[in-house]
Amino acid sequence: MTPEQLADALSRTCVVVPAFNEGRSIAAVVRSVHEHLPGATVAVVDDGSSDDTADRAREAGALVLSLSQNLGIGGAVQTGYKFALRRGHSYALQIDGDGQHDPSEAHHLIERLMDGDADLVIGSRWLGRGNYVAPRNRRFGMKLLEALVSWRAGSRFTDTTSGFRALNRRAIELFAVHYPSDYPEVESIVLAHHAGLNVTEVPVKMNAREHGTSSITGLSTVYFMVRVTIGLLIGVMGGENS
Amino acid sequence: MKGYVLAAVISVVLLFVTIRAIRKKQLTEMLAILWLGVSLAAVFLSALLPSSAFLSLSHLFGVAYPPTMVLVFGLFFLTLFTFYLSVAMSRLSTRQKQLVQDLALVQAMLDAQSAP
Repeated sequence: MTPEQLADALSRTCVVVPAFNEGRSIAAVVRSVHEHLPGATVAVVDDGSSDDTADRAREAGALVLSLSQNLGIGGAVQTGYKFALRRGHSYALQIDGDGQHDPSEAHHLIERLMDGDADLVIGSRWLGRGNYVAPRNRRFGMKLLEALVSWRAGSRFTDTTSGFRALNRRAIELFAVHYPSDYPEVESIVLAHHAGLNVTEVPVKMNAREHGTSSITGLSTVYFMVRVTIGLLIGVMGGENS
Repeated sequence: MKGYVLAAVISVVLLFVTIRAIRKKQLTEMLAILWLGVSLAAVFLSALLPSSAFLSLSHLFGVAYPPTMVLVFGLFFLTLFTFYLSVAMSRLSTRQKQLVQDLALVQAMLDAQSAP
């Protein structure tokens, strides 16, 4: 791919950054996105934060979508996709607001998308690049999810909980209408596969998080596993959508 | 005998509370009609409770102790109704999510327009 082609793709890309109380890291993330993905629209979805996330993001030059109530990661990310859909973007790129995803790695996702045969490209920590190590107590759950998703989606996935992903127009159209509310990453892979979209992974480097902790700890780990397993076995949950 | 009186009092109070809630517009039409039906049925049933008709109805269902019938039907109704409430609540939360999202999108559109 030529630099001109990448620049053209970036000008049609909306970078969706879900953020909940990420005031300490959001500005750095936005600036890094501007630096590594010049020309892309950056939309930070402020999921009802109680800190200065929205102001920090605006100062750093992002467009801010402010949710008046906390909707959780699924509702927040979907807002970004709805925004990209309405504004006619060809591509959307999702990057977490906590600094875990490195925008300098994002072009791998966009380039894979532009090869043409993939609709949803997921950045995987486990395909060889980088040296991210998962906390020991998470490995079993991650392995289980990997097996379940690989079974339900018909091909092998190594990083089902990764929120570092790129979408083309078809995938944006799907997720703007159907997207799970809580812990959406895993289910959305199966959802896209069943809608006839081509989902694929590319290797990326990821950082350990700069601030904050994972939203999945303690008892909510149990809820997460039950919730996602049911979603994968019975069908995507979450009520009506329009 | 005391049990019958208690049942009658409870059902009449339920009917009274329902009518009051309807007057104060605390219930939507469908739920108002539902609770009016339930409380009228309760009054009717409690009037029927001491009669031999209720006893033979119980025997028809193979229930030896008539008040058990009330419990069984009551539980059945409550289970159905809580399920209906769960469905209604899920629908409301989905709609609320869409409203919050749409509000954010409209707000962003307005911000873009008012920016220099």
